[in-house]
Amino acid sequence: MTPNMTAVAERPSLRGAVAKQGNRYRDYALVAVFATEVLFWTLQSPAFLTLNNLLNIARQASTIGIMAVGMTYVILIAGIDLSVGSLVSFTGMLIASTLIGIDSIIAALAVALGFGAVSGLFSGYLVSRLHVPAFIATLSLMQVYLAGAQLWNDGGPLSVTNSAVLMLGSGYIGPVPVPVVVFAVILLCGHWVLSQSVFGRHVYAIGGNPEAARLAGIPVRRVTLTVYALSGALAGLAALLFVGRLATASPLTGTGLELQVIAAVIVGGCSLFGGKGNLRDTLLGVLVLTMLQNGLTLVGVSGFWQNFATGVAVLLAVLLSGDVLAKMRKKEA
Amino acid sequence: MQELEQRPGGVTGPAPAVLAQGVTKRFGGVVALDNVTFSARAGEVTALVGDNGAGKSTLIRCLSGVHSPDEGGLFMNGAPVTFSGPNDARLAGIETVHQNLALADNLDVAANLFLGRELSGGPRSLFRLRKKPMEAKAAELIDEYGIRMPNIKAKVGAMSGGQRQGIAIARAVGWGSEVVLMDEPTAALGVKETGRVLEVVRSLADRGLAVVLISHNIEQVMQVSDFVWVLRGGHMIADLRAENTNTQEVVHYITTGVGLGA
Amino acid sequence: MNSMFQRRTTRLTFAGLTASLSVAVVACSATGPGGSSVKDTSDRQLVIGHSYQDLSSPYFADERKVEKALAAKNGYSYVATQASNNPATQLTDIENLISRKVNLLVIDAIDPNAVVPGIKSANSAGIPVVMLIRKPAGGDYRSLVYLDSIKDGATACSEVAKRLGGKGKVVNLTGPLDILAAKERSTGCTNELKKYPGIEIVASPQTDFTQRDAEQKMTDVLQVHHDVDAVFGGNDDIALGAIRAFTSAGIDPKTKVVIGIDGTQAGLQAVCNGTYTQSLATFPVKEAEIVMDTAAKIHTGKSVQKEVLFPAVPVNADNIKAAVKTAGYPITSCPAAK
Repeated sequence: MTPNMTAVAERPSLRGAVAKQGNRYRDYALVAVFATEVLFWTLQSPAFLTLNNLLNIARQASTIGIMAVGMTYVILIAGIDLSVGSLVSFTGMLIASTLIGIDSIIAALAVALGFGAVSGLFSGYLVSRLHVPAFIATLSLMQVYLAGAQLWNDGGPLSVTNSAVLMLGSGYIGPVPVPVVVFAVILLCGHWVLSQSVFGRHVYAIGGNPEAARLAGIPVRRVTLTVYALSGALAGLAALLFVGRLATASPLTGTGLELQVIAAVIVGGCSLFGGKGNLRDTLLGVLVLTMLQNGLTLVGVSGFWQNFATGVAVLLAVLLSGDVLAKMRKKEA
Repeated sequence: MQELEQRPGGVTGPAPAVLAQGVTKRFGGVVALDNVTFSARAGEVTALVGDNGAGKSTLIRCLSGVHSPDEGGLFMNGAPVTFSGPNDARLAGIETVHQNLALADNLDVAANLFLGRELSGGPRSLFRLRKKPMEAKAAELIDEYGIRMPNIKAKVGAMSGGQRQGIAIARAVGWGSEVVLMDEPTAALGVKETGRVLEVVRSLADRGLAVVLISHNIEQVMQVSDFVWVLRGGHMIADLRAENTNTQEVVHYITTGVGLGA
Repeated sequence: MNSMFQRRTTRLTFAGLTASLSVAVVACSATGPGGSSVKDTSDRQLVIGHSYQDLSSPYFADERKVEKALAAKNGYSYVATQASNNPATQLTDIENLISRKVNLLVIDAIDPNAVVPGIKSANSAGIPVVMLIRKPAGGDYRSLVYLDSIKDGATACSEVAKRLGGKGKVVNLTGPLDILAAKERSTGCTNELKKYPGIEIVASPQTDFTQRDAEQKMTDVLQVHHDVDAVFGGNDDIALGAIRAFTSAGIDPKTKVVIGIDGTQAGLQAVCNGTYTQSLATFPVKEAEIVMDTAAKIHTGKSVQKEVLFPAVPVNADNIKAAVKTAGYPITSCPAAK
């Protein structure tokens, strides 16, 4: 005789109905914001909707975007990686020095991805095994890399001339800048893993309820290490792209990048508490913020208003995201 | 290895589905369980009661593989078993419905039912999730247990307490387990839902599972259980046939350590 | 370990040792350098404390390197602090240097008002103060080695105007305007360019002083203004970013006028390559030399000039070779040198 639990689930859920509405609202809100912004800047500046400028935006969005893919994974497990900006600066110096010794893009790529991954593994180890809060662990690493990048060449930059690296950062495949192609590949792969693979499912589970994940036999520590390693490796890749773009490795290249990346992921609707978010939305977040910077410069309103606008965007995103709505619901319930 | 076993209370029968014998567990200087013996048989509801801090959770965690006993051993159907983690216990057929349900609120029903045991195409498909088979099986289980679910793709966090309880139980039972440990299954439910859950508990046992029920509510315990074991301060002080005792006596055991009368 | 301390005699001995050790440490520090009140300081070692605004910029980093080397050469003790452009942090740095008993304090003031309490503390402690970059709003100092950033901006942009023949489109890429030097350079430039009716400043984007940000902003500007003739960069890094943006947009930077300020090694290398028209160099080497020279004079009781203008030297293809030599940069290839 099969136990009948119909009656157990009887009471229709008012909470459920409101939650469903909330989620739908959130999904549409981001796309609406994106569309509105495109419309706004198109009206503000004739230079905005030109092919050249759109490709320009795409290229600028690519480096931040690549880092944002890694950051999305990290934030999904309720972690954070504040070291990515300084890591970009430091890895850039490493790349430039490597190229002086071995003038090969393969070597540069190996160093970029290798060092980034190792750094990420270290962060992940601090977080998952030593239980250092991610904020503290990655903040400390950020300081270390900042100093490291400056000490590397006595505060000075290093010049890069390798043509393949310059092609990677500044070149084109047809009309499309190479970094955009790289970003597209990373984004698609990242999205597939997150939405279609067992690993991706585990990432969401750990973010949603780490204890439940552990009890269910999910290798939480291993997933955490992998996620941080991914974030580091992608920061390393971004460093290579920056070096290729600027033909220079500077200790200042990564200044403020971690905040830009985190802002993009948050505007994309990822919850800092973990378990909620996806790469399609992260892409929209990256584009919304990149277009903001670009539009303001095109229109000639630059400077402090840029910081203001970015800050307001992040605040709005957090307010409109599920988190605040959920807390409000809980209060009423 | 004994097939037949002398049960306390003078009843013999086949080996229990799960048996903890002489189990001692220490945490630092604290002795959580001291030479505890406990068993549950297939087809019966065995309750484990006791005051806060008596060691109920620790015993359950030993049975479900979260902790390893420092002394003593575990047996299933007469054969000794050791668990190095919750996975081992699950593979051996022991499932747990945790007090907080251990559901991932941000995932849907199918994802929760298959949590940690996702169906995938293996390495060749880069561990791609086989979502359709998982969703089909989920629908099957939901149907089988008659949980009313208007939208099976909804996130579990948006569902009512009763639905979530149903999912947690379906997950524990749907994997073909032999032993189901239920930790305070009615704690968060209203009166009507509680009654229904107790019906489910009884019917699981009727299906042939060994159900271990932890609860603070002795009245409820007496409604559905066949046997009641009392833990007090890390010691198993009584194991009683439900039909030979009553709520008052069980409570007396819990609070004083002794029974009523001769 | 426990059993050892349980013995009463061991405890007493340990306490005694600690006490005598503490007394010795206190006694030594009290009579050490900086603890005496001797007026004629020339027979004491010179301990120089330099409070920097921020050491992440190549300019200050270079300066510090040279000062450290010069101090070592002359047998001085030298310590530098940096405040990450935060005026409150700079006050703390100054207090710490005073506690550390430096006998000469050099200050690169972030904010001329906020720095005054720090100068006054040094005054009370009897430590002579040398101010760099800009004049403070109060407090006593022996010498001020100042940059006139407004004049530098004007000089740079009058050169821009000259090379454009008084006609053309200019982009003013500034540094962060909450940093005074950046603001003053920008103001100096725009005021100068106002004199030329044929010159139009088509955009004035603000950057964070980094090459990455400057490259991005310049690329954005080029979307709107396709025919920019000249760029004024708030520092060398900004100018280099603009040059890179030109290159990526398919525009040969050698056909444009790009002028900036700083005179860093990367900047001078670009002048050598011909891509960078001119950098107004305030050589960190020169500033370091002036600082050390002033410090030595004060320490031996000689008189020093109250205010010294630190000149910004225009460096372009005409005088690049000499400039590289003065700066001491290890630049080997210089094709554009005339």
